Amino acid sequence: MNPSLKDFFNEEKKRVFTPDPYFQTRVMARIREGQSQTDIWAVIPGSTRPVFGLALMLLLVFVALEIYVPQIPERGFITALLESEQTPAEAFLLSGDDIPADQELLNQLMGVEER
Amino acid sequence: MEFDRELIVRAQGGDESAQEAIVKHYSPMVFRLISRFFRSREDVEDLAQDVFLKLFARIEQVRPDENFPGWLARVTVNTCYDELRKTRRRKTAMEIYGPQFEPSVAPREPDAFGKARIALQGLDPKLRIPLILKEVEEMSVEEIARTMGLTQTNVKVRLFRARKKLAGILGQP
Repeated sequence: MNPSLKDFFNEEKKRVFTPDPYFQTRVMARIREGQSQTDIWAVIPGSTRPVFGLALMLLLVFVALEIYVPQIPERGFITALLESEQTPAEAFLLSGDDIPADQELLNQLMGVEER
Repeated sequence: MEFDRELIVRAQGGDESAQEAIVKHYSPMVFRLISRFFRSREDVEDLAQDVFLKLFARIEQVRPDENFPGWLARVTVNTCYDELRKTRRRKTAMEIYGPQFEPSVAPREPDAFGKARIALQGLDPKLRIPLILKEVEEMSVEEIARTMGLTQTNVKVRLFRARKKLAGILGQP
């Protein structure tokens, strides 16, 4: 190796920084600071927080809809409105009960009408 | 070795006094290594803090029977490598997109050491780090390979290229 480069590297060996007496105190303070910020929000990088927040909100809305809105309503709005205009015979036919045999059905309908 | 093992086991258990003892015992070594690559005290101190934060974030990965100083040297050199790459990118960006300054006085001609320093700073960190570890830190090729996670052949190739490039920049045969 070139002598001037050798001298340069020898000179570089002398250039060393040493820690001051409070260095470990500062490091420990940073470690404690890091430990106190371990909640999920602190872990998420700042740039992705809006996206994460929106996703979380949508998820909560979906869960709320699943819980509070029944999937098959027993009585919808239209059914409830029409029910007030139904005659007893129509109500009987639309009740969803098992339909009896022809003659029996006729007798029952007639009985409802007579009433 | 026994000292390291006991401290590491205690630090892994979250013992703050053990963590503090590790920082106190190993900070001169970490400072010395970082000083080889950075010239300002503030940079050296900031990077040394980062090294210890990384160390305690990954303390679970350290096996108590492992060569702890070697492991710490690897973390330190990798931290320096990342920072040198970032600095290099910033410098390139500033040269391309930054403001143009017209010097009011002609820059002074650097002395022989100044030229060597500038030439060394111009080297790619991939070449600069092994060269400094070899010439200044006086590590063997095997130690450099272990510290940088490279093969010994790869280290030799990088050392050869670094010396050749440095000689080229300094205009020497």
